[in-house]
Amino acid sequence: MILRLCLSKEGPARFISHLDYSRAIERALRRAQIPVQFTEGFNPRMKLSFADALPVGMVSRAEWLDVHLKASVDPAEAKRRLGASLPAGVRVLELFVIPDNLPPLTSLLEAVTYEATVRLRDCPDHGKLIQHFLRQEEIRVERPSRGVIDVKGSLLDLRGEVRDGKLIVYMTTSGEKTVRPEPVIRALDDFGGSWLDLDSLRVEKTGMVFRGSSLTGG
Amino acid sequence: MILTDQIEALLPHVSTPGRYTGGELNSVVKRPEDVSVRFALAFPDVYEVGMSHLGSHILYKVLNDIPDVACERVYAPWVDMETLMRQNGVPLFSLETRTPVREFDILGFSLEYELSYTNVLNMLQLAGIPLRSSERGESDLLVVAGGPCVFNPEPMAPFIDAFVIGEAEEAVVELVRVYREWKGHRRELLERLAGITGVYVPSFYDACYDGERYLGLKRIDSAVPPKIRKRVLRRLEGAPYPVRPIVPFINIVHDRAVLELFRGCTRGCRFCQAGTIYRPVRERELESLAQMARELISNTGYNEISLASLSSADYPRIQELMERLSDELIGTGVGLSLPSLRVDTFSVELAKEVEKVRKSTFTFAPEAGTDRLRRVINKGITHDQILEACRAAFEAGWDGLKLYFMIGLPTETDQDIEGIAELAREVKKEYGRSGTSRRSLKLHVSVSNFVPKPHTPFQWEAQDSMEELQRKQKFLAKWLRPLGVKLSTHDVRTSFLEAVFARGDRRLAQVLEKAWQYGAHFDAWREQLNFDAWRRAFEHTGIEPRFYATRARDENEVLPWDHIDAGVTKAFLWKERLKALAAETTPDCRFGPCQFCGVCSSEVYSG
Repeated sequence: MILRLCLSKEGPARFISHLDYSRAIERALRRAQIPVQFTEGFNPRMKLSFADALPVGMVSRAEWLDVHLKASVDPAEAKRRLGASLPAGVRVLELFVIPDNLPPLTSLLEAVTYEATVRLRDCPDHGKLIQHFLRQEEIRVERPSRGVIDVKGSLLDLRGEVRDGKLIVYMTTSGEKTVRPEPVIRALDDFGGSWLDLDSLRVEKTGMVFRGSSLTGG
Repeated sequence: MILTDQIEALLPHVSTPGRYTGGELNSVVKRPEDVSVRFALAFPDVYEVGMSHLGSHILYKVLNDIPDVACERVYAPWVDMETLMRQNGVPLFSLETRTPVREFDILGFSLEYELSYTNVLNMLQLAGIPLRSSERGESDLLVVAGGPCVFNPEPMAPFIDAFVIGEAEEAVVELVRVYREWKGHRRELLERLAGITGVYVPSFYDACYDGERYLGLKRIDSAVPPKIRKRVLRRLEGAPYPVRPIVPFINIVHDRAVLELFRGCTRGCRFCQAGTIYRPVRERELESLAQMARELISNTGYNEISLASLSSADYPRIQELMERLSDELIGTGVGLSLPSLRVDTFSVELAKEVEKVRKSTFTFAPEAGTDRLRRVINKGITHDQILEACRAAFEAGWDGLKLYFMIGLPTETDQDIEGIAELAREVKKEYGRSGTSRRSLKLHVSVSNFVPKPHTPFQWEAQDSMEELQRKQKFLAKWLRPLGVKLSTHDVRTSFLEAVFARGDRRLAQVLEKAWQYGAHFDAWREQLNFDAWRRAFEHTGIEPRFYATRARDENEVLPWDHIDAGVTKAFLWKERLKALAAETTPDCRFGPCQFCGVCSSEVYSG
């Protein structure tokens, strides 16, 4: 039996690495006494497969993973038990059974959605500015210690709204070529002439889009 | 900005922010308004090191089990975090409620190794607490310390209001009770604390000197005891144990559940301080251990449980215990580990139980290179027994071996060091004869430098000079190189400082303070050690470090820790020293007759 889960990563848990996060999930599964399958070999590990790895510090409401079980469980009961065993900052948002023959999540990932919040320094016409930003022939962003790239092809959508002196950016990036939202926001700030207070930037991963209706196999 | 937001704002800019978040599973958060005593339990090193320390988990449980006491954890921020905290005016804070440490009632440090002392000073300053006990006023919190280092508390005496000597499970409860009932002046609190068995309030004692020579302590208050008896739990069975320990978010040094089988060790290795200060041996019952193991796993979800003690294979029913645990854990993906094994075939048998599939590296600690020197240190194993144990490990399929040794031991000659290489050569030959794998043997020799410790038969010995230790390291490397053996050594400067502070007196406090002012901190971290700061501190204070490290003491010299009663008599230690020099061994009283070390008949244990 395979369980497909969507978990959150927030609060204290947002400051841990992906490796530490997956270890915390393993421990919670053991505390919840969910019969997880182990890998073969010298160093048996629980069979978990994550759709993606989240960078340290980012809040997420969409950490999808598959958990392979060696015995079947009642999903509602598993959800209750796991929910009670998870550490602070990790909640079960979705949990359901999927057919055994579905392709792995990583191969189905189509897009990732983010919500970025940043305080405004200036109040230009943000709608127009974003439009011009997106209409550039190349959207060049600088990634910390990894050089400049053009994200035009992998930035699928970007919209903004202003609320309480803050700009809220809804961003969708391609699942194939990973683009982190922070460099995009920095480029947007640069494009508009330092109109954002980048120190206040908070990014949250809000969703993952998978190909077709294959998420549930239905 | 409130403190918690200030801290969160720093976290994206530091390495391993998970050190500072708190909120881990099983951490205990109490509302300040619901408690009457707030206790900050501090460890003067980074989170990953401090969280691996069993004693802190025990005290955390003991204190938080008291309904009106809140115990919260504090660790030394790593250098990047410290810089940001100083730049932004963020004081040292607790993890549970992110409260500034100076708002607590009691601050308790675990002193596990001498090279963490500068971190204590740094943490006090980051907390905004006056460094010296004498500078603290009525509004300052109480600063206490415990741990193995306080068996010679003198170098830290001016900075600590009260030391708890020995096992603190019971003493810390009494300490909190006294604190809760106390009303009035700070001095009255200290007087009452000094009345608790095992508590040493250094400000009630003056240190006397004659020139360089230390003459002893003079009580300035006749109500305080002339000698401070260490605290010992009469029974370990039934003593409180953290079966619901905090499970860290991030990977720590010892990232596993820990089951303490017994406390104390009577093997009697003459260099070993733990062998004295944790005496006598006290065991937990097998049934209780099995139950504790079950609870540990269901409360933590760890995939490994370590059977910890000073020499785990000495637990009388160890095989039965391991079989019980293996049966229960089968199919859960939880493994057992045995961290401290003897050099014998029985230990190899036990390890085979543990590592049914994984064949990693086997570790033995022969400690010295020749039979003669092993008799001197009372590590009662022979060359042949070592080879036999190695053979058993090879036949069982291990193809990695790590051997621990010390250099600079009393009476050591170059022949003993050649003996290390000789042993390595024979171990390799043994592998050729009995190794089952086609792979070649991965042999790793790890060599540390001998540091004479208080309350051991070697407490009177001189440490080798840094130059001599370096020469011996090079000498050994020359012998090992042609064998293709991996050699790791310890920094001789670190061992030198350790020796100075292990047997130091109160005068060293000024050196500590100076060295810290010159930038010394995290001295146990090789890349952080700032030896120049230490050199300048010794020069500035006019204190000669070699007086403490490389000088032999005679029988009648007053030692700075003579007022600390560890239960084992000085006469026994001296007798053991003489036997060492004659290369005579002393048997383990656990498996034979009493050797009259004094601990069982002392008031420490019976009183």
